[in-house]
Amino acid sequence: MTAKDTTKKIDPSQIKVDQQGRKTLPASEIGVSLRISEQALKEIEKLQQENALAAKESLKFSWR
Amino acid sequence: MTVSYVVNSLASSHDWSTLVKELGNEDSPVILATVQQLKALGVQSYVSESPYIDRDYSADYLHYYARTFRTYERHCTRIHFFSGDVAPFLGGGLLTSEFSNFSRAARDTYCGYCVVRPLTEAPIGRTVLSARLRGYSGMETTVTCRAQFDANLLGVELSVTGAAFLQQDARVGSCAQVAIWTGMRHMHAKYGYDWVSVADITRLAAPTAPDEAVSLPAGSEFLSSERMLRAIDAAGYQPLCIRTNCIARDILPYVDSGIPVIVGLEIGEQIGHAVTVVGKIFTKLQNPTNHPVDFISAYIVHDDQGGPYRVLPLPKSTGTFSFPSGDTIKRTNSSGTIDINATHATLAIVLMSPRVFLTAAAAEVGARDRIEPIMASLEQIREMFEESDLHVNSRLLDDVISAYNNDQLVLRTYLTSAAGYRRHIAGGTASDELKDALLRVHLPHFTWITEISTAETYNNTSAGMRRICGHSVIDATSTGRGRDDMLVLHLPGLLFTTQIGEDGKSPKETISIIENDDLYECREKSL
Repeated sequence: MTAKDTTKKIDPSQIKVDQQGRKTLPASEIGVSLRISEQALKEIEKLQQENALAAKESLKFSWR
Repeated sequence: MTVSYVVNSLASSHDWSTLVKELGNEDSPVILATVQQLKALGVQSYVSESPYIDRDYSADYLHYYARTFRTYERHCTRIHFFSGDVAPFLGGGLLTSEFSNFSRAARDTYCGYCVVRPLTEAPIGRTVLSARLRGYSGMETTVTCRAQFDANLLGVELSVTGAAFLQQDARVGSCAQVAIWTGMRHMHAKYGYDWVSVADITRLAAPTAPDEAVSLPAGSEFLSSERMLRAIDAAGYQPLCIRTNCIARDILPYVDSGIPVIVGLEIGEQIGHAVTVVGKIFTKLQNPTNHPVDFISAYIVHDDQGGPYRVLPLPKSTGTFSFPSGDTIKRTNSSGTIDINATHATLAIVLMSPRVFLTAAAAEVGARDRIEPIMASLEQIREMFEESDLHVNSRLLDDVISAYNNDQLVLRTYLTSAAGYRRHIAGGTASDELKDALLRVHLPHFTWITEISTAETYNNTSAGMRRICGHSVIDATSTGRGRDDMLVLHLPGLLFTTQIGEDGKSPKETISIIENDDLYECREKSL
């Protein structure tokens, strides 16, 4: 999940050049975080609960 | 005792009839489907090797046939198929001078083998036919669960790439055991999991409740889902159940990963039927959407009562995709014969590695949760970069922003090993700069990849022509709920990476600028 402050400017001192010559900077400089959101966590929880409940019903189904 | 090798050409319809008789009952759907696949492969000749000691049949024999009053044959016949005519090499004695010619012809044209068991009702034993399937106009057929199987014929090492098939022998097991066997045999051949026979699976699915112990041999008539799960767990896998309102959609990431998926089909009777999904059919759409499953017109399944490489059509906006009647599977219930399609699926069981701790559903939600908010602010991010004299490929960014704004961004998720991921990146068409950056990322053994493409760049019948503009990598050995599970996120010109923090420390998230970024190949398991 990202939380952005798009009025913010990149601090030039945070821009580095790595050993391969690529420009790099901390993700926080553009207000981005790769941390999962609370909303997504709830969605995962909900999906798993729904699947678990439905799967429970199928335990005694038989196949041939 | 000598082994007989009888070679026959398949030049006329009479030759094919002779082959069908060698395989067994000409009315059997399994045999008809096997012959259909042989014709699709352009088979021109075959060699019958008899007697042949088959390990799978020997296991059934040990557990059942050796204990019956009636005497059963212990040996099988193995028939090898070739897309060239090998008859001239084997007509007489095999001379040393001819051996290299035979060896070359056999290797170059080998299409697989079929073990014929001495069982009138269920003759088709372990069968591996090449996974090159017949084509359908505007579609691409891919057997995603395929592995190399080897055979030795007269000292020549032959190999075929396909998915192992077995006809149901109702005396020793039901479709449930065979569906599990199909999946586990693939995992054995491809990844070195334990070899298991149908008899082993029945033993691992031991009954523990009265309603499970109602047939003899135990489990020969049917297996409950619970017993299937028990057998899969005991065989060293993590069984993962999927029972959602759209099973066809929710199994796609696993099928795309080359993981066998057992699907339970309910057909209006008390006991359903299980088949194993081994592939898929991709279809180019006239009006492409942003849902990967909409591009899938059918799954390829091994049906122990219908034959190898059968088609299980998926629903579309009106009805289901249509395929020739002889290619699909059918079942007869009290109301007559019905064509089976994916809407009959009510349960799926995935054979997961014990080293994966994150489901595809969780990985998809996690990937979307990171990708979409960044997409929504890409325009502002680009402005910030330009103000700082940092440049990314504007054309690519424009395309991807436009696709996002028009609900045309396709996110496709699959599981891969670190080695498989690096092999794809290294051998693919990504820019050198991106390749270099990606190949340096430290990865766990298993990761969930979510590829990002636009409906336009994804909507191509040929996998080699489908293009992606980015992807994410999520640690499949994580819970998916922490701060450091997303290891990589590549968007046009931007590469986000997370360096996992040591205990108690926050992960470090960095952006690298990929200046000469471009579209690159998606990953597909095409032959």
